This record gives sequence, C-alpha cells and structure tokens, in this order.
Amino acid sequence: MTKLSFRALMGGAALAVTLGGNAFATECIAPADAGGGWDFTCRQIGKLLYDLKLVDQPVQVTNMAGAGGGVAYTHVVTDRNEDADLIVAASSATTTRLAQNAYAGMTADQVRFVGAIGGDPGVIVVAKDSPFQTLGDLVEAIKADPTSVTFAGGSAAGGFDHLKPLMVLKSAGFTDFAKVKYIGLDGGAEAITQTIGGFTQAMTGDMSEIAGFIKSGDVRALAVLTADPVPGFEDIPTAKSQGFDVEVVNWRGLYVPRGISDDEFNAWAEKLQAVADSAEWKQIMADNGLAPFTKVGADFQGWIDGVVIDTTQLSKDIGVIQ
Amino acid sequence: MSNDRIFGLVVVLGALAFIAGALSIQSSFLTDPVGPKAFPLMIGAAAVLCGLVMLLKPDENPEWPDARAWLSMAAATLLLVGYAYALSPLGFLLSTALAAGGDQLVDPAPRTAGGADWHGTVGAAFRRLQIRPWPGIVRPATGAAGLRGDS
Amino acid sequence: MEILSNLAMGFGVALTPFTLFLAVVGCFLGTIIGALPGLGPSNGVAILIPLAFSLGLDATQALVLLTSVYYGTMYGGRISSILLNIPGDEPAMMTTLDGYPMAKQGRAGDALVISGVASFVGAFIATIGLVIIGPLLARIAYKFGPAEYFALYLLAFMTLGGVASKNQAKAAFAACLGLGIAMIGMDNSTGMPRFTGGNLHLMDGVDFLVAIVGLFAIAEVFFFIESHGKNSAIGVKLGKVTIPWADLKATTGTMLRGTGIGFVAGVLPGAGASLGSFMAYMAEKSFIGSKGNFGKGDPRGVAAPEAGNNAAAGGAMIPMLTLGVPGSGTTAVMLALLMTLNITPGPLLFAEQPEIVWGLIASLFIANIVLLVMNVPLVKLFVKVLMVPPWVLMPLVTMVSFVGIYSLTGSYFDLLLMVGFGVLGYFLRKLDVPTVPVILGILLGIQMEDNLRRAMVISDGDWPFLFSSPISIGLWIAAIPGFVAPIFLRSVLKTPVGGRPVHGPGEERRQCRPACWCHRAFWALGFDRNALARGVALRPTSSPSTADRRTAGRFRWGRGSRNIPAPRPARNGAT
Repeated sequence: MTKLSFRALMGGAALAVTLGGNAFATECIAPADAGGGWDFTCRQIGKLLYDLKLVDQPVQVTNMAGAGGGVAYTHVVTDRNEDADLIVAASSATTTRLAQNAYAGMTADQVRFVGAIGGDPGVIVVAKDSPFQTLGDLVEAIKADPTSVTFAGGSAAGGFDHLKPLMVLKSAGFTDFAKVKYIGLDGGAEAITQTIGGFTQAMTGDMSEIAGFIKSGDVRALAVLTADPVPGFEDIPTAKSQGFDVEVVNWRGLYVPRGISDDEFNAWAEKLQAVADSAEWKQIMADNGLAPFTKVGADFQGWIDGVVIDTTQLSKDIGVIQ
Repeated sequence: MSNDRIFGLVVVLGALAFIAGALSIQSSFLTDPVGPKAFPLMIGAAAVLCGLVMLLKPDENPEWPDARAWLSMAAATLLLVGYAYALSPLGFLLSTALAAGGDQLVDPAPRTAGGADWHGTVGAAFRRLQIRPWPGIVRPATGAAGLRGDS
Repeated sequence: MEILSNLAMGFGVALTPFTLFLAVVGCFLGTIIGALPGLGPSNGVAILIPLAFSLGLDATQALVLLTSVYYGTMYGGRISSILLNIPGDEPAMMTTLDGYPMAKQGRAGDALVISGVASFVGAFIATIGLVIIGPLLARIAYKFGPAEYFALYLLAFMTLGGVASKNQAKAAFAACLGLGIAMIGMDNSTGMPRFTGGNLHLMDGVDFLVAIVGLFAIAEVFFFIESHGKNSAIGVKLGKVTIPWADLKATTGTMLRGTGIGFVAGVLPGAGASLGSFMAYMAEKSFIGSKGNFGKGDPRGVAAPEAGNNAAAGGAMIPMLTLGVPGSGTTAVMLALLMTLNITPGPLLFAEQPEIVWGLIASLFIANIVLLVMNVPLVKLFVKVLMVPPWVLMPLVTMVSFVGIYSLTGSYFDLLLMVGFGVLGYFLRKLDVPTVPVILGILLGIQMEDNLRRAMVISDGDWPFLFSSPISIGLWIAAIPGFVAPIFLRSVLKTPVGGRPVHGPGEERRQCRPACWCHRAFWALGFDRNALARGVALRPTSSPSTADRRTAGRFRWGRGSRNIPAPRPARNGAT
C-alpha cells in the first residue's frame, strides 16, 4: 500500500507540475532566444508587472525564436488570437519585418500594439583590436571594397540590425546595398562573440545587448545612432557628430493579440504606463543604456501605423523589397 | 523481394520528392551565396545515395508480427489519433476517459495478468493516481517551447 | 588561493539549512522530471521558474533550487533510458544504446549505478573546471566561427555510422531524415517557408521533443503491443541494486575521457549536452575498438555518454556566465532566470557580482553531492516510479507523452505528429535503421545550415573557406576517415571467405582503434583489398593482446564472455 501511495504521489506531483503550475499566469512571449533585446523586454516588464502588483502571478516568459520574430507572430495570430493573458515583446525589428512583408504575408494590423516604454539606441561596434577608429574609417573601407567588411547582427538578413549600417551608408552616398555583407545570428550576444573572434569585422546591435562588452573593453563602439550621446556612455560619439545624419532607436514595447476586447487592451495600456512611470523602470533603463521613449495605447498604435508606412518606403529605397 | 529493397526504393522516391520540394522553394529578395535551396538539395542527394545502397545491398528481412498484432497496432494508432484530436476540445479528463473506453477495442487478446492487456487501464491508472478533475482543460505553454536549438 | 577564498565565500552564501533543503527538493524534482519521457531539463527548469518566484526566494536561493533541478534532470534522464529504452530527455538518448541492453541482461541495477557515478564524475569535474579555467575557457567560443561550427556538426554526422546499426547506409539515411525534417518550417535567413505544404502548424518547424517522444516512447508502445508484452522494454525488472565495484574501477578511464570531451562540447555554444554525450560515446567506442561490446550492453557505453552529458551541462555554464551566450537550451532558460533576477551575465559578471557567481558554483557542488546520494544508494526510490506493472505503465507513458507535449506546444497537430513519429519509429527500428541520428539531425540541422550559409556570406561563396582555419581542418580530418573507413572495412568484412555476410556475434570485429582505422583506410584507399583483408585477419594475433586478456579477466563482457546473449534478430538496431 505504501508503494502504491508513493507511486500516486509521484505521478500526481509530476502531472501537477505539468498542468497546474501556470493556471492563470500572464505569459510573455520573447520572440528570440534568451539574452537578446526581446528577451530583456519580457523579463524586465514581466518582473515589474508582478513587483508592482499589476498582475497577481509571476509573468512567465516563453522564448520562441525563429524567422526574426515571425514564428512568434504567426503563433499569436493563428493560435492565440483571443488570449487576453498574452503579451509579446516587440520592437522596431517587429515593425520593420512587418513593413517588409517578411512574416509570410502577415500584416501589422493582425495584432494590437500596446505601447513602447523605452528606446534602445543603435550602436555599431568593432573588436578592440580593429583597424577602424571612427565610423568614417568603416564607411570608407566599405566604399573602397564592400566585400572587405562583414557585419554581424542579432536579426535576420533584411532585419532591423541589417538596416542600421545600410542607413549609415545611404547617408554617406553609398547605395550598392546588395554588396554589403551581413550575417544574422540568434541574438546580439552571439553576434558579438563572432566579432570578437574576428570572423566578422563589425557588429550592429542595440546598446542594451552590448553595454557589458563595451564596459569590459572587448569591443569598441564606433558610433551610437542617436541625436545625443547616451547617458552613461557619453564618450561614444554619435553618428551625427561624425557627419552621418542617421538616427536609429529601437523602441521596446509590447503587442497583444488582435482578438481581445478594447477594455482588455486599455487595461494593458494602463499597466504598461504604470511600469513606465515607476522608479524601478527608470533605474533599469539607466543601467542598460536605454533612452526614455514612452508611447502607450491608441496613441502608440497610430504612431506604429505611420512607422510601418515609412519603413516600407525606406526598404524600397534601399532595395530590400520591390 | 527483400524488405530492404522496398525500403530502399521508398527512400529513393521520398528523397527525389524532397529534392523536387527543395527546388520549388521560393527565393527571397535577399539571397546569400548559398540560398535556402542548397542545403536541402545536399540532404536529398545524400538520401538518394543511401537509398540506392539499401536497394543494392539489402540486409536480411526482419520478423514481422502476425495479423492480429497488426490489427491491434492499427487500432492503437487510431485510438492515439482520436486522443490527440479529443484532448484540445474535450479537455484532459473526458478525452482520457474516452481513450480508456476505446481501449477495449484495441487488443482482442484475453485478459491475462501482466500481459498485453490494457483494457481500461488508463482509467485504472487514473483511479490509482487519484487525479482530480481539472477545470476544463490542460493549459498550454510554459517556457522553452521555442528552444528548438537545445542540443 | 583566491579561488579557494572565493569558493569559501560561495559556500558561505549557499550553505544554509534552508538552501540545503531547497537543493534536496530541487534534486528530487529534477530527477523525476528528467526520468519522465518528454520532460527534459529546459522545460523542467522553465516550469519551476515561476515556482521559485512565487515562493519569494532571493537570487541565491532561486539559483540553488534551479541549478539543482537542472543537474537533477541530467541525472534523471538516464533512468528511463536504461529501464524503458525511452530517453528521459534528449541528452540521455545515447544511454539507451547500452543501458537498455544491460537491463535486458538483468544488469539494470549495475547500469543505474555506473551511470549515476559517471554522471557525478562528469558533473563534478566539470564544475571544478568551471571554477579554475572557466573565464579562460570562455575564449574558446571566440575561436569558433561559422566554418568551425559547420565542421563540428559534420564530424558528429560523419561518425554516426557506428551508432548501433550494422548498416552504414541506414545510419546515414537516418541522419538525412533528421536533417530533412529540420528543414521544415520558416527559413531562418530569409523567412521563406520550406516544406510546409502551406500548413501553418509546420511554419515553426518540428519540435525535437515531439520527435523524440514519438520515436522512442510511442514506438515503444507499438513494440509492446506487437510482442503482447513479452519482448518490450516496458516491464523490465530491476533486481537488487549492488555497487559493481569492478565495473566502476574498469570504467574510470572511460568516465574521465567522457568528461573531457563533454566539457569541451559544453563550452562551445551551439554544441551542448546532446552533442557532448554523443561525442563522448563515439570517441569511447573508437578508443576501445574491437575489445568493446558497444550497443549490446557494454558498461562503458553507459559511463561515457553519462559522464559526457553531465560534463557538458557544467561546461555550458561557462559561456552562459561569462559571455551571456547560452551553450544549450537549458542554459538559455537559466540565462533568462538570471536576467529576471537582474543579474546580467557577461564579461563583467565575475568581477561585479562575485557572490552570485561563487554562490552558484557552490550550489552546483552541493547539488552534485546530493544527487550522487539520491541516485546511487537511493536509486530504487526513483525506479519505483517507473517500475509499476506494464499494464499501468504503458498507458501512463502514453498519457505523460501526450500531456507533456500538449502542455509544451498547445497544439493537437503536434500530438498527431508525435503519433506519426511513433509509427515511423516502429518501422525504422524494425528495419534496423537507428533512430538516434534522426534526433541528432533534427537538433542540429538548422544550426548546421545556418553556419554553412554564414560561412559562405563571410567568404563570398568561396567553398575552400570551410577548410581555412586549423580548427576546421582538424575537425575535417577527424570527420572524413570516421565515415570513409567503416565503409571500406564493412565491404571487405561483409564478404569473408564463405561469401556470406557476417552478422551477430562476429560484429565487434569491425570495430577498430583510430590508429588501425588509419592503417586500414590507407590500405583501402590504395585499393589493395588483399592487404586489407590480411590486415584484418591478422589483427587478433599481430596486435598486442595483453590488454585483451587483462580486460577479459576483469570484465564480464570481455572476449570469451559468458554473458553476451545472441542479439535478437528482430530489433537490435535502433534501440
């Protein structure tokens, strides 16, 4: 009999672990592997939502990598369209790929964008022993021989990280974009590893992914793609100060499924605003090189619609879509 | 004809179909030097070779089960397919109970202790485990669903 | 000295009664989660993250709990591999190859103890390695670019021929099948769908967990029905568990080698525990050569992969902590946990938050010792979970498989796919096609292709770039004879004097140490079949046989062994 009850206990415990552990918790999907920007968004917002008592159970984070966020997007649109307990990390990369019709025909109006609560400045870095000292050096080298430089980034080819150097090159008058070499890796950390190892000559990414490596001295930032220097990283020159009129900030925010009600949407918007207003979030932004950038609710949705149109135009200009 | 020759033939035909599928993959606006087709084509070619080797150098035939076992296995497959379809709309308990009932049909062998008899055993297992009815359904998704690179 | 004082600090943080209690709970849950088919380390840890938070644990306590679970699952995976022939998690799949045959021979207890001790050795030494050379070793990751990773994966697939199949073509086909399945879904680089047939469920590809549960657990159900319960793994009995000192002594070298290989594989991001256990097994097999009895219940075939996968689990912590690059799916989840706790792994972690790092390392040591105690003297406790009568266990296996997969993916389509894999697995195993390479193909296929394509972007489509660094050249040199030599050997050996294929007990003659492989490959490439045949025929007398005699005296499975049953013709392949 003891044997039997022991068995029952085991089986029951295992099943309870499988089934019961997450009965009504909010789930946040990070559409990339752990360690990248989307993962960061889910972890931090998820933690604050719980710490600030905006949700009553810890937020569970699911990493769903693939196709630059397309896998998660497809999943949300097709499988979870009415799930009001689901939030998904989003960023400029999401709208970029939507604008380029890169999510297998999915469009930006198939989900609702709740808000952005921070901006992650774009950065271009090289290994510490790289011959390139300024952004100008790098651009000149590419102009002279486009095959001499390979960029590594955390997004797929044609994605936001890929567009960053192309925008810089465009502002410098170089438009043969197809010749610029770029490899997409799973997240910024891997891209940095490849650059430190000398397999790629430069890495493009967001400040939050790179901050630790800049501080440790393994990589050197050539330029930050913001209007003003980023607090905490004042010694990194902006691209503008080096004569390249480019500004690329990767906003960090969330989208939710299309099928939820307006009330549920507004509830998420309020919660996100509360996170944005908290002192904890301001500290997190400062620690991770994020610049303040808050747009929430209907306001944000309208802004996104404009961004998608602009990005589509830009992508056509630089030739990544027809 | 030896089983391996049939299998080899199936492999060759399957691999050719795979190659045909690979050739029809759309290319994107941004293509790298390799593109999305090359690697699948390599796999297909390697599989064709493997199939040909099996075709030409077959191993001995395995021992196949008797007709009754085939029938049981076919019934079990159907049952599992039914269980898969039922799990989502009916919830965990109801579909499991149905599967347990469907059990009766799977194995026509007489009930023998410790034998292949799994009549009603799912239900029995439940009673033993004293699993309480869960409200509604099994909720999907804890983490790690996307960790397909876990190696 | 600094290391010791740091370590003392770490133990100071981690060694309180409550954290010890958490370690015990974590190890226990981890072992159970690991033993249940379909629940592996990454989902085990992921499931427990919310638990850690709802208990209000602080950073160190949460880390202790979850590292205990992580290491526990690595230990637990072997239990169902050995007893049920179903790997409890993906790194444990290599353990089925010899663990299950041992169980069939009535040596399940020995296999469990040996694998438990091997797990301990692997994990413990890897943790020491993490302490001493961790930050230094992280630099290895910088040496591996796309070309090197491609060669590494190629090496894994090239050496597949020896995975418990008599037929190289079938093992190679199995790998192609796995790679082909991996191609299904959206292309990583371009976002284009491939082989999906327009089916949205296939857009995100085939989850390897679906495949592993289908190919092993569901297929095992079919074998159970086919044999009317007589010949199936479900229902293998475990006798008295005693400690097989002789075997442990004899496998010490194996464990150490497996640890070394697994550790390095773990340090490389993108290799991980499954590749670690695979490489450890294959290396041990070719190292032991013809004296081994691999695939039929050789204790070394249990010790090597278990030491390998546990060492890899420890090694995978290194890039995770020092670079923020997870070395495996599980460390990706751990990384996520650290970030939730507001700890950012990366080059500065050791300097900026030493108490976290050293507390974590101390908790790894604690978890290991707890696990050794749980998994060797108390292993019967866990075995009881799996040792229910077959008529209960089989539906239970089915049920856990279904619920496990459904809770993970939430899609009935994946369940159907799993049943499909079960049917496929049945026929593959019937036809002596090994299923391990299929899983390996699904696991590594996308990464292999991505790295090939990245290499080609960097080099502008210049194929020789794949052989342009010492590391990649070394890996290619190791890979090519690994595949080519067995083909030549096999064609010669399959047609000995009588012209009839050699099967069964004579099979171990085909194994060969690397040195002799090279000789034979050399001869074979010189098309001197006679010399080759002569070389093979002469080998037993010409090669020093002192080693053979020594092992035969000590091992039960040595030459002239009395314990090797003739392999059953029906299914001695992919098991």
